[in-house]
Amino acid sequence: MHLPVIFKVLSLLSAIVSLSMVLPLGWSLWDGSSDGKAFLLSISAGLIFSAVLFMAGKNADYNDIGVKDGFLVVSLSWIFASLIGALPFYISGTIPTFAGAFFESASGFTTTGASVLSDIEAVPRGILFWRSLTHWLGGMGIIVLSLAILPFLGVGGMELFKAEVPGPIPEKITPRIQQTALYLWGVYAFLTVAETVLLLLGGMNLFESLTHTFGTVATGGFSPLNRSVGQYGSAYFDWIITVFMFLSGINFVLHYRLLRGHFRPLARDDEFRTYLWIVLFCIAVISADLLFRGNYDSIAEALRYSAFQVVSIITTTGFATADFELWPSFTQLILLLLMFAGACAGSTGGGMKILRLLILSRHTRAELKRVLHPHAVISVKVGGKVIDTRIQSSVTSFLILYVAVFIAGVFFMTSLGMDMESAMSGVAASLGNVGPGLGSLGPMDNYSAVPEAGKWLFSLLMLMGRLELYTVLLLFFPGTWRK
Amino acid sequence: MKIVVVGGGEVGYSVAETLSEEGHDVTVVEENEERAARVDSELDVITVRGNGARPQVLEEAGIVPGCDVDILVACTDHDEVNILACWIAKRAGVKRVISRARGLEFTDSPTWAKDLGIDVMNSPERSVAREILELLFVSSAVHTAELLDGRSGIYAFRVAQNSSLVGVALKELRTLYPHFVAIIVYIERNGTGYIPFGDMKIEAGDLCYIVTSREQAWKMEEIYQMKKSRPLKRVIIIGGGKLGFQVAWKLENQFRNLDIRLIDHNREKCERLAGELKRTLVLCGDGADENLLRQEGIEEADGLVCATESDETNLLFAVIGKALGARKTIAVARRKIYMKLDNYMSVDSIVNPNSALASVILRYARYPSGSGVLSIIEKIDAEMLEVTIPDRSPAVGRTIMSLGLPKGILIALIVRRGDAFVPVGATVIQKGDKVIVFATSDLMSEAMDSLGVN
Repeated sequence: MHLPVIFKVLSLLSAIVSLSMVLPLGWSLWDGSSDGKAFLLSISAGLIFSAVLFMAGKNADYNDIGVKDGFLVVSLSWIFASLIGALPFYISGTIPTFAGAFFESASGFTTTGASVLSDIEAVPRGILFWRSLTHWLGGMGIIVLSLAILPFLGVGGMELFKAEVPGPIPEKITPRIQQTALYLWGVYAFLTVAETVLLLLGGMNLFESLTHTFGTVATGGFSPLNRSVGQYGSAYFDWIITVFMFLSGINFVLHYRLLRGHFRPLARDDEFRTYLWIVLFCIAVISADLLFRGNYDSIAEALRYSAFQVVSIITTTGFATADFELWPSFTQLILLLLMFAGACAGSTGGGMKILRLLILSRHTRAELKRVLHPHAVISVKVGGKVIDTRIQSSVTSFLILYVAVFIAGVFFMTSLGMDMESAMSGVAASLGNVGPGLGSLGPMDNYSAVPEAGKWLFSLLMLMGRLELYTVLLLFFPGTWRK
Repeated sequence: MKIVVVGGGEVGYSVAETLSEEGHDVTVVEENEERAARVDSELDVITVRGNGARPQVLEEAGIVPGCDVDILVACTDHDEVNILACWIAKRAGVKRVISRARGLEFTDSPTWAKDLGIDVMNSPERSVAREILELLFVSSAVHTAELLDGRSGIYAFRVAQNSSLVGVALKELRTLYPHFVAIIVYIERNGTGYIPFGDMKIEAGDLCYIVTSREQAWKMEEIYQMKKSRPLKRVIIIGGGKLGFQVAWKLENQFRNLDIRLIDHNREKCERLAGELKRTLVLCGDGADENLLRQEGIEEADGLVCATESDETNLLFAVIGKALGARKTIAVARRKIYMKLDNYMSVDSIVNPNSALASVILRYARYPSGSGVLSIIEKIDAEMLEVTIPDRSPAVGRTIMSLGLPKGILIALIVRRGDAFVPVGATVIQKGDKVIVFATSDLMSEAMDSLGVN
C-alpha cells in the first residue's frame, strides 16, 4: 500500500468534484437564489480538503499505484466525492440532516436516483442542477473522467479503470488507457448532447432538458419535477427518454464501435441481444397484463407506459411515468426481478449486469452437460469467446455476495422497523442503483421517512452496487490494510 | 506511432514497456496465457491472445491491408513465427518490420532478411558474443559497448587504489595525457551516478565510463588499473548453446594462439560442437565439477564465460570460477533483475542478450532516420547514439558551447573526415560530422532536437 500516491490521486479527484460545482453556482447566480453562498462555501471547503491531501502526497509517483492501491483509491474517491457532494445540500439547508445530504449525494454519484426531498420543485435550481450533475459525473465514472483529462495517471490508471468500470471483464478500446477513457467520455457526451437537443425540440426548457438528460444517460433518475417525467404527460418525451435510457444501458464500447461505423459487433454481441430480448419480452408481457386487467384502455398507452417502466427499471434509471404500485403484483414482481438483472456490462447502468447472468447460465448449462458426459471437455463461451474459469468463478461468487449483501441489508432494514415489502425492494433498489422501490418507497414516494441509520446503510449499499461489491468490500477486509 | 509487438517474453515485455512509456500506441500479441495476463495487467497496452504467425491473430492486432501500423517487432523465441509475422505485416503495408532471429544462419548473410522483406533482422546471440569478446580483450573493463562499427567503444573501468589518476581533476586530464582521444561520460561512485564536470576529482573505486577508440582502450587500462592487460592465453567457456558456440567460433577466428576450452554436459551436443569448431577443445562434463575445472587449468584461465541456458547456473558458475582463480568471469543472464548482481557477487561482468536486442529494436523504433548505433547502458539508465549531422541542422556552424545543451547531454566524440576527436566547448559543428551523443535516457530526444536530427 502506498498511502502518499493514494492521497495524491484523491486530492485530484476532490478538486475535480469541487470545481464542477461551478456549473450549479452559475445557475444560482443567474437566478439570484439563496443557494449561491452554499456553493461558494462548498467549493472552498472542497479545495482546501484537496490541498491538504495534496500536501500529504506531494512527492508520490503515479506509477506506484498497485492493485491494492487501485481498489482503495477508487472506493475512497467515491466516498470522498459523496462527502463533498453532500456539502451544498447540507449548507444550503435544503436537507436538514447530514445523513440525508450524504444519502442524496451518494444516490446522485452512484446514479441511483433515490431522493429524500419531498417537494422537489420548492428547491432552488442551483441545488437541483447539482443533484443531476452528480448523476452525470458518476454515470461514466469520476475515475474514468480523471483518466481522460489527466494524462499522467498512465500505467497505474489501468488498475483504477478496472476497479471502476462495471462488468466482469473491463475492455480497452485503444492501447492507451487515457485514450480509451477519452473515447468513452466522448460517446457519453455525444449521447448527452443528442438527447438534450431532442428534448429541447419537443419544447422542454433548457434547465429541465439538461437535468433530465443527465438523469437518463447516466441511468440515474433524479428529476427536477415532483412527479418525475410523468408530470409532462407527453408521449414524445416518454419515448425519447425510453430510447435514451435503453441506449445508455448498452456497453459503451459497442456505442464507440457503432459510431465508428462498425455495425457487426453490436449485432453479434451476445449480451446486447439478450438485453434486447429481455426488454422486448418484458414489455410485451407487461403490456398484455395491463391491458387484460384493464389498467389501460389502448394498446398504444399500455405499450408506452410499460416500455418506459421496464426500460427505466432494467437500466436502473428509476424515472417514473406511472405509479406501478397500482399495477398487478405479477408485473410488480417482474419489475423487482429486473432490478436485480440490471443493464449491460460497460454501460452506465447498475444491477448485476446481463453479462454476468449470461455467463452464469452458460456455466450452469455446462455443469449439467458434464453430469451427462463425465469425460466431456466443455468450455463456456459468450459471443464466441471462451470465458476463463477464473472469471466464471468470480462471477459465481459475485452472485453469492450480491444475494448475501441483499439479505443482510433486508435484515438490517426490518430491524429498524421497516415493513418487508419496502425493505426488500428498497435494498434491491439501492444495491442495484435503481432508485424507487415498492411499498413505502414506491415511485411516487421518497426516502425521507427512512431512519438515519437506514439512510447510511442505503448510502453504503449504493456505493457497493456502483463499484460492484468487491471494490468496496475490500475496505472491510483486514488484508487490505496490512503492509 | 502505432507499434505491434509479437511476443511478450522478456524482450517483448521490455520493448513494449519502454515504447508505451514513450507515448506510442502498443499492441502486444502473445500466445501464452500467463505472459499475456502479465503484460495486460502491468503495461498500458492492448494484448491480443494468439499465435503471432496467424493472419487472423495479427488482424485482431490491427495488421490488415492498408492499416496505419508503423512498426511491427517480432521477438518470440521461434524464428519461424517471427519471420512469418514480419512477412504478413510487410504485405499488409506495415512500414518497418523488425525480427529477432535466434538461428544464426539467418543473420550470417544480409540477403536473408532482404529476401524475406524484413527491414532489420537481429540475432542477440551475435551481438552479445561480440560484447563478450570485447570484455575478454580489454580484461579490466567491466562493461563495454561498440560504437562506430567497432572502431570505438564505451568501456567502464574501475579506478585502482594506486592509479595515478586518483585526486586528478577531470579538466587536467587533457593536459596530462594529450595523446589520448578519450572522454569520461559518466562516473559511478558508491552506487550513485554523476555526470562529470571539469572540477570533479577522480577517486579510487570510481567506475568511469569512457568513450575511446579500440586501440587506446588498452592503454587506458594501464592508467586506471596500473597493470598491463596481458594478452589472452586461455579462455574457458561453459555451455555449448548458440551463444557459447558463437563465442568460441569468434575467438578462434580472432586469436590465432588462444587456448579455448568449452565444457558442456550433453555428449551429443559436444560431439556436434567438436565437429563444427576447429581448434577449441570440447569437454564433456559438469561445469561445477571442481576436479574438471582444475584439471583444465582454471587457475591459469584469463577468462571464464558462463553461457548455459540458465541464468542462475551461469551466475553461480561464474562465482565458482572466480573462487577457483579465473582472472575474469563473465556470466550471461537474460533476466533484467540479475543485471545489478555484480555489485553483490564476485562476478566481473554480466551480459544480457535480451537487453542487447531490446536496444537494437528501440533504436529503430525511436530514431528511424538515425544512422548509427544506439547503446543503452541499462545499469545507469543512459544511452549513446551515433548520428550524422544533416545539412540543414540548426547546429551547423555553431560551437558546442552555444548550443546550450542541458546537463546530462554530452557530445563525446566527433568523427570528421575519418578522424575521431574529443570536442571541446569551442568546437564548431560542421555538416556531415558523425557525432556520438551521450545522454541520460530522458534527455536523448532533447539532444536530437538541438542537433536537428529527427
